[in-house]
Amino acid sequence: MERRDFMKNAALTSACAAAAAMVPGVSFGRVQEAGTTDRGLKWHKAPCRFCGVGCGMLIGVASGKAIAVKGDPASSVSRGLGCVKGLHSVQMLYASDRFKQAFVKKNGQMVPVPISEALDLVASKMQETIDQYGKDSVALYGSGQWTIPDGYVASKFMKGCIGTNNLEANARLCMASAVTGFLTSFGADEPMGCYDDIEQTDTFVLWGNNMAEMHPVLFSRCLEQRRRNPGRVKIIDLTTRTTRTSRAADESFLFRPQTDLAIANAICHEIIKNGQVNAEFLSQHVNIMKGKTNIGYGLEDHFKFKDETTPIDMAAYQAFLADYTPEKVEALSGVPARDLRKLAALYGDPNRKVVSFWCMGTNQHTRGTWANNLIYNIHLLTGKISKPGNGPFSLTGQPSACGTVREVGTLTHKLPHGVVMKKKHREFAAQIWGVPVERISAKPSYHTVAMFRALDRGDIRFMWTQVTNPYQTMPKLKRYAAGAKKDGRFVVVSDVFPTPTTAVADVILPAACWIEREGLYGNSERRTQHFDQLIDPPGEAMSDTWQLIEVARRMGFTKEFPYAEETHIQEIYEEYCRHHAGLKHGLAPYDELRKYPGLIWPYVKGKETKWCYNEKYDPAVKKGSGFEFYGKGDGKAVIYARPYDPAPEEPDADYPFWLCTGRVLEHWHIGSMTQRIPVLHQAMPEAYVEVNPEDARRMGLVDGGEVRLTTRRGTIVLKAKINGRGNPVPFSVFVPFFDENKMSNDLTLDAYCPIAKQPDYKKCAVKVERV
Amino acid sequence: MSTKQASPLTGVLILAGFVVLGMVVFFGVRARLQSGTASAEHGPSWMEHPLEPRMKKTAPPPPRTVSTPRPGAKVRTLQEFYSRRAYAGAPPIIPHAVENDGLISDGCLNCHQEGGYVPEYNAYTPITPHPEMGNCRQCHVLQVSAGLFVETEWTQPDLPPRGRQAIPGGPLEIPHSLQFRENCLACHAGPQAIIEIRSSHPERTNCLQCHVVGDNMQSFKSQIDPRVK
Ligand code: SF4
Repeated sequence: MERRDFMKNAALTSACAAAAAMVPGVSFGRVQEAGTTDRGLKWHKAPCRFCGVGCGMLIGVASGKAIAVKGDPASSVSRGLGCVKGLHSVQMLYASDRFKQAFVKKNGQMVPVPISEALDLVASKMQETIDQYGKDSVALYGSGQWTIPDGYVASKFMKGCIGTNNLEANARLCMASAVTGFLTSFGADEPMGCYDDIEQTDTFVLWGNNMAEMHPVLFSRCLEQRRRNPGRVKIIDLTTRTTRTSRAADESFLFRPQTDLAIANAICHEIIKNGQVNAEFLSQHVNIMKGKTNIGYGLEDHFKFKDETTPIDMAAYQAFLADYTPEKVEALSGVPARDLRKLAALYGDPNRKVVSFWCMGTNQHTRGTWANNLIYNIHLLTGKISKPGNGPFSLTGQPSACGTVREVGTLTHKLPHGVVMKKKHREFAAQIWGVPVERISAKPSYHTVAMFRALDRGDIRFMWTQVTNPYQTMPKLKRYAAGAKKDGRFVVVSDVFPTPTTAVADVILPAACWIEREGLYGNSERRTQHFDQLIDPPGEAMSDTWQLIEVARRMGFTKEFPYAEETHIQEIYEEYCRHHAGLKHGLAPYDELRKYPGLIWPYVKGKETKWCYNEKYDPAVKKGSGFEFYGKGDGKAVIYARPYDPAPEEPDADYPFWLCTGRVLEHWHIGSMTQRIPVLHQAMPEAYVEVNPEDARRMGLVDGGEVRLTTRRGTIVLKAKINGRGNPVPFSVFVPFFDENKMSNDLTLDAYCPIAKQPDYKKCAVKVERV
Repeated sequence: MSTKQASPLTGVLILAGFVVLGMVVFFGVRARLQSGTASAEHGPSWMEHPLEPRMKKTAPPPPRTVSTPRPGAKVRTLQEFYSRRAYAGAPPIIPHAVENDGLISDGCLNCHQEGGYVPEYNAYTPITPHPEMGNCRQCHVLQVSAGLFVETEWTQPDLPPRGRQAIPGGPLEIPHSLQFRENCLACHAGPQAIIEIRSSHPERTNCLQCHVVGDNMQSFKSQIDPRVK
């Protein structure tokens, strides 16, 4: 009799148990067994597949299928919570159109082939392209959804084996400004605090961050903190459109796009004027600098920029801030001077703790690096940094934007430890990789936008993308989508589902998704989270890590990729850890990570470092110094005088509206995964355009009526949403970008931050017409 | 000796056996649950977290509703209950219109905290088992369209078994986790309760005194406690 049938018969079970009860203990075991085999369901920990919050989930697996999800109460991130996406995530794995085999284009048709044949072709085509056009004619483009081993193998393969820096990841489009912000201000990447700040602070200031929809579980923690401290804890929303977050906040200040730069300066102006500077902290731990101005917008091919910074003194900084009095900034931003003073008072109040949160509003910005620097300025002036409940906190959108792209360094200029430009760093990487140091190129090549421009021009001939969908997410999409289809380009795409990117592919490699393979992610708070393979991938689907290894080996790099299939994730992770060993970035050991729902780095002697740069919490800080920003040679962080600059394309007579694009709660970035989850698709079946009710009245537009949006780059038609969940200010509209049938990126502009090279998806000029 | 001729002593012995078994099950399960939490002494700070005591509260206030539904009112069935969930334990969808989609909670608790009769639907409002969580729309979404983006091979998994007892006549086992569902009476008592799983004794509110969670809690605890297995 099958165990299942046996267990179904409750009466019989009970009778057996009753008989065995004569011997206490035995029957207990039996009942326990009944419990755990019930429905055959077993719960396993895994970080959520979707956003950078990195909620700890428990995945219910029965008969080889993932059938349920719940929040892991042991996760210090989510404490048993999850949002609607995470709680339904397993459903996407069973969408009928999963790629289960490889496809190769033959005579213009995609035909299924065994995966080994497809991998042969990828390897030979890559080699052929290198032989014909040089090693900088091949490129690999990944994402912040790459697991840590995927990214590590990619870096070793491209930089250490092939010898090209043509390695980028879509995180360039979402947090490059955060990285350059951290590097310029602190000399080291990633937030100094952690999510525990939420339960220790009095004030949340959200800079252009609709946290209620984008980081819902963290927002729930903020709400809980306020609920437990009524009257004391405040949530302040700084935004360009009214959102769920605005309405849940204590106060919401609407500002004109791009003027966040001026607002941050106005806050600093007031803090100094009111004598709320933490003078001791400032004199011991901070330098003041200025950089170049008139830095451009990266709109043209071959655009180059290099910042030059020079120290200035407090008097010069104050003179710089004189342009940013609350009255002047009111005129620029539309935020009343009284509200700017109120905001400055919250930051300045020595008895108040403040956490600043931001994400895409600040990062997808043609002055993104500056915007990040300017928020740090406020925290550095007041000394409200690197302390529990006090700190600037840059959030991420992808599950491993931090873990893979930033920490492994899958960007053109990066190595797992350090940058390609530094000989010392190249030598260090080469030694661990076991490759000749000359093989690692010292020159960064193309950042993401430049890489797709190079593909369009033909400087790049072979591009392999994994876990991302650039032909939906690149700004000014038409140009780049057309580039990929040109003759003489070879496009390889590893993915789980058909997307606009697989539509332009010459080879499609079926990928194992998330819990169909073993992996590790790193979330926004420096937490590394491991997950086991819980179910089998469908058909011939293969992990991105293993695909890369297979191709690398076919190209002759067997010595560099000696890992055994059964243990390769552990071997790769342990090799990777060698790059970061030490007090400043030591990672938790593999065995520990398997036991716990994530551990924060620097992980030193079995302990997480929750607040970096603070002697009390961070063992890397010099004893007796109090604070040490050890990313910088002199241990001092930098306050940057960064001015307000207008956006490259602002509304005018022909294109009179601002266009902002972004996300909605139900869909995670592009909807290729979440649209395949029935409950999410049915909640949010298509993209729309949010129109201000006054504008709608003037245009005679009704809710659900069709609207044509036109920019200098393209046009799309969407249904109007009036008084929906978001309400843009007059003469501005908002469009979610998840919907592959409504390509918002046909409209967007490919201008970027000259320092971060991150494009701005939040601001361009658009014409809005009733259809 | 045939069973028909069982002496009174055998009966007493069997009865005693039941009692012992019940105690073993009850205390055994508790012991495992407690040992599970000990893993928190390492690293993660969740034990210090203020949310924890609240999440672990055991005696929720009973809903302040009348206990018998008015005649003719629609009763909630298990079939309806599960039709609103992708799987047992998934957050239910919102089956009615919401006035303001721009709020994280558009007065949801006005109706769903304490329940009550809604003439419009001729039914009783389901009560949330976790009224302390204010960010309702984080988990609960509307359904504004019926179609699928693409077909799916997903099928609703088996539902939790009902009516399982460790011993005949013993208390029913709880076939689901208690996470965010600690207020048993929200679903099991009152006029809004689901008809098939309505408690026969709603006046006894210390549910966990007799009913224990059948499976889920233990198997996941063992995942994080290095000392278990
Ligand atoms: S999408 Fe983000 S907030 Fe939602 S469950 Fe996943 S990690 Fe948590």
